[in-house]
Amino acid sequence: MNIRCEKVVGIDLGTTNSAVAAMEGGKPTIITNAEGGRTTPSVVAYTKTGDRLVGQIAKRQAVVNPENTFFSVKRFIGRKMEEVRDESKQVPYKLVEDGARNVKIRSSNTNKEFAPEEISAQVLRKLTADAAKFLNDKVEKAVITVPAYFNDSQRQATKDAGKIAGLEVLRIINEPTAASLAYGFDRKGNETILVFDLGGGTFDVSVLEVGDGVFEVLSTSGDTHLGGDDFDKRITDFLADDFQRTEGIDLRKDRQALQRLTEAAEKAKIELSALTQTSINLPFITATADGPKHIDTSLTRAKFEEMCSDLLRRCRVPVEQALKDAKLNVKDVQEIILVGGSTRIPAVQDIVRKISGRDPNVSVLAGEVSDIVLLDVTPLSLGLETLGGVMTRLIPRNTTLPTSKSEVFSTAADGQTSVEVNVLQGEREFARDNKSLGTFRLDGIPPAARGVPQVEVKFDIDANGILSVTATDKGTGKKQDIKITGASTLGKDDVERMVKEAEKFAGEDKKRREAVDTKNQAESLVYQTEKQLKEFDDKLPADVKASIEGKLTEVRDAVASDDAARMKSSMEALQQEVIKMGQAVYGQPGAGGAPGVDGPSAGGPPGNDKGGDDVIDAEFSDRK
Amino acid sequence: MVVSFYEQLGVPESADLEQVRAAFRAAALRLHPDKSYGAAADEFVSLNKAWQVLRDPHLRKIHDQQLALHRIREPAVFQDEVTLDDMELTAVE
Repeated sequence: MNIRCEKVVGIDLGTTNSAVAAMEGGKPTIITNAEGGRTTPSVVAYTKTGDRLVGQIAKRQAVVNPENTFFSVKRFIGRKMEEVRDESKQVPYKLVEDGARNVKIRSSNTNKEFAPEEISAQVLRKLTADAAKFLNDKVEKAVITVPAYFNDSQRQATKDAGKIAGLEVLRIINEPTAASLAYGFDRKGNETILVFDLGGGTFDVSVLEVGDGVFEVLSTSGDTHLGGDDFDKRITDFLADDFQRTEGIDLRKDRQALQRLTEAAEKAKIELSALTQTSINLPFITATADGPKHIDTSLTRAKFEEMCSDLLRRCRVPVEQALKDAKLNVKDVQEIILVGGSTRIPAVQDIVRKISGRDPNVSVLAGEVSDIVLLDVTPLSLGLETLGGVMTRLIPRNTTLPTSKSEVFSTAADGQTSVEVNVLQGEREFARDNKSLGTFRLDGIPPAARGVPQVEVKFDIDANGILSVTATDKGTGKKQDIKITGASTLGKDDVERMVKEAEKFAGEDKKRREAVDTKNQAESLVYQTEKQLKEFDDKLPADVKASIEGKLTEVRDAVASDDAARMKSSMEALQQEVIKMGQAVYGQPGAGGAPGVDGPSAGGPPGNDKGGDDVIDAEFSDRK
Repeated sequence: MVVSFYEQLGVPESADLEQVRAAFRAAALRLHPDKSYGAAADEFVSLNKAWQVLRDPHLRKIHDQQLALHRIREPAVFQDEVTLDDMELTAVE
């Protein structure tokens, strides 16, 4: 059985950039977007007029619209405000806390607060729209990749983003596992590989065993707070500190200046991957009473590496942890695969070389996807809060998915009818240090003496790493209701409302785009017609000319009125007239030749011409 | 009741790691939820459990011991029902 009857796309929804791939003739192909790029910046912006921009055009205007240009939103998806205090200071847009202490993104231009899921959904919507255009087919199903180290809330939120974008998310796949596919397609035997994935905002390490089409993750580890953006920030701080020392102004307080600094920092970082020194020029970065101020400095690779030494050191930890969890020595690893833009940093490659003692493999997508299966693991232990605020582990990390575990709960007091269970994810001893996935409340327990009711709660983690919880009363065999509160994901109602809103906006967008297209067509038709009128001025009968000019005015008026329907009808009318013009010009034998000579012999054809005119006129009046 | 993980994976108890691995992989390609569309999720979960035990030399040894212990106990449990045929069989062995 196979479900390849419809187009399914694979989406790499990155912190900074996103990409889409689809199967074309049995081979994975990266889809180019409407702008012709293979990656699309994961950026959404709202302009002063309330227009929404997505991708490259949104990124381009970020400097002038820093408070309404949303990037690196992946860092906030499925998070509570308290989990992202540091990151929230690194972005020029405003984050606010909603009633449930979840992160909301504030857009001053639209006077709205968006869930990170909604912003990501906008990116997904653009990606799939471009993919649909590229594939010339409907795109409604997708597989989305997430960092392996994403917790349940982050996965669920990513899935919700897909739903808001109108997609059916068939599967959430871990990024390093997806990357291993590119490498391990044609491996027949058995190989152990380590994927080192340092992206824009997250760092993942996975150890896999690959062979016979089975990609089995042995362990995964990572750091959700480490990525290319952190390297950029080091350069930004270096520039800002330097400026503060010499000029006494903190550029980080000026959102526009900060945005320019961040962009320059990223550029410098990229350049330092190829060069040993780069220059940073930011004219008119700010102004004081003395006049405009500029940044003109240079940065060496050595200095950059020194600034980032602690970040580089942090890269070692997950590698060692992943190996330890897989019960392997680095010598047992046959291949190391580097994935993610930040692995282009020479110092990062050096770290990998130092850990492994060999050269890493920069993987290239190749081979044919046929009969394969991905066996992923859960990156974090799942547990419950028990007496004394301790976390009791239920499913240990690195357990192969899908998996399930049941636990029987009872009451602590006589006549108690509900039990609350705080579900946690993480490796720490105490509940408060771990991520709470929410409080699950079991209601409707029949009143009885304490300890008598027995409620079996089943925790299922599916192949996507997403948890679902079901409860049954062991006495009655009845399914128990579960209410979840305090989760950092959207409620079902919220998702549905957002789906509707997004659909509405998509409809409006489509209308607006059509209006713009019509306007462009109308303007170009006016221009072409005017040009032709001038060109064939001497060949056109006066009546034809007059009627064309009349219709031209109508189109111009329609364009000025911004009325799409009027533009369309007046354009059609003008086109009919233009055909007449063509006939008037080309209907004359030897059209375009020497007019003087052909003039007299044109006696016959004008009759035809006239006839043609009549027909068209009749047709035209018909339309009226 | 002791479940034989060898039986679950369909390999003899003498199978080496590579044989067990091959058996698991072949089954995973059939039974993983991505392949069976959820129909065999529970089956896959128990299959995977078997593989996790047999791939680990330490856990495999424990499982072998459990199976051995089970076999020693088994005849004892059914002693009342031993028939003449069985006795002959035992005698031959």
